[in-house]
Amino acid sequence: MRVPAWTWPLTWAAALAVGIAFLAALAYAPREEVMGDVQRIFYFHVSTGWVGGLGFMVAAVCGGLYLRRPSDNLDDIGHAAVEIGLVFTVINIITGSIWARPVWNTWWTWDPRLITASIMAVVYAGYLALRFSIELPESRGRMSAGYAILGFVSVPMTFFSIRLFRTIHPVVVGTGAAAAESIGMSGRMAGTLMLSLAAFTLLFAALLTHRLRLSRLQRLVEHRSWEQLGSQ
Amino acid sequence: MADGVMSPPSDQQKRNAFARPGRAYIKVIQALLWKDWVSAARSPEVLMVMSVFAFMSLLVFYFAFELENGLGAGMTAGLLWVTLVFAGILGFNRVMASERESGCVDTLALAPVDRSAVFFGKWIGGLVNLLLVAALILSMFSLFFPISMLRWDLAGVVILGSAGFAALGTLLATLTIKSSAREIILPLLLLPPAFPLLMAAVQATRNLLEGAGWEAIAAWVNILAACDVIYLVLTWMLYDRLLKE
Repeated sequence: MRVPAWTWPLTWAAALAVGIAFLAALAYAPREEVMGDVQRIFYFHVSTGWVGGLGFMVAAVCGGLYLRRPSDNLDDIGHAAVEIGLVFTVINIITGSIWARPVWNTWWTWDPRLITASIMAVVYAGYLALRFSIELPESRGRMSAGYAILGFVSVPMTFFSIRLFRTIHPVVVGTGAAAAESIGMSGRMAGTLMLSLAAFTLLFAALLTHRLRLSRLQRLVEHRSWEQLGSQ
Repeated sequence: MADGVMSPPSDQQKRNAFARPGRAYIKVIQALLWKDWVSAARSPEVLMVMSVFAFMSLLVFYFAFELENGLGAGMTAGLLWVTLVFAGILGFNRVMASERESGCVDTLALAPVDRSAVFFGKWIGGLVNLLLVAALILSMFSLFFPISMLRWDLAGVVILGSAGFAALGTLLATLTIKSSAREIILPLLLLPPAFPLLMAAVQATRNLLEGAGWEAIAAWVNILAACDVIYLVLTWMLYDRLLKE
């Protein structure tokens, strides 16, 4: 199977962008006054969280489209998006934990944001388990599309948990009193964050194309082995 | 009662269904409930298993937590919902299992009726099951521990919590029907999305038992009701697409 022409340029662009974002987070962004250098993990913490949410959103949209009109392609995109989203959600939780150790003086605390984020991860782990356990491709596509839509409830729940409940997790995105009092970013910090978000979005797109290619190869192999069985 | 659906409809019945679609819809729900009721009455093992499980859990909790001196509101609320959730999972596992084993799923999927009516039939059946077990758990709590749980306000919270939980359970029992590991995968799929609902249910129950004011309880009851609406609408919309052969 041929690699789509834009796969490699996209991959290199993503690698370059993540490299630049890494340098910006370390060198361009100013040192935070209270927390010191450890705060620099913030740029990747937020970006990986964003990619997680983005992946789950793509999966839910693909799920909706699939239920309207089933196609292998939509099923593959949804599956790939969930896998990537889950990996980045886990990275998001781990980076948060690393950051929490010096700043909150604990690796883990039962804060609404931490609970909802870990539940979101478990929901999509369940999605993958469901996929593994259904053999028939049509049923697998339909059932996992349904679960991707149902499971998406956990994404806004995670996003809004720090806005609805009393929590120690700061609010970054948005306006209003909560955002104003919890995190004040200088221009350079905001710039670095934007750069990092863009870089990770590119990385998501690149990983998605690679995962999609892998899914297609898997389908091809599955198909061929059925054919061989048929010819014997 | 069920013959309007089970046997080929006469011309008169067809005209009736066409003129009053709401009537036909309710008839499908009735037929499904009737079928499940008859099969449950002939082999009542599901309700029996759920009840015995609830009783055994209370016994285990009693010894694990040394509850002779009674238990706090937080502990009671937690035990009530943990028992109900696990008993519920046992029940949901059977909701579609009997349909699958008897080949009734295909018939349900092929039947020329609105599939959301099938959903509501299954949902009401699951909810009734859950509420029967809840009534048993609440009576056992009141009997064994020095705390009265047979209260109208508590019943309201239990009904609200069970309604949303039964909706999710019905959908996921259908969703895992083709899975090779359905009995073990159902709790994995069911519990995480049910989390906000269960959290609100536990908190509302605890506040009620503590005798907190209505303002404190209302916040959680609102979340509970919101979860019910979201889950019911979502499951009702998805069911039609999932129950398909």
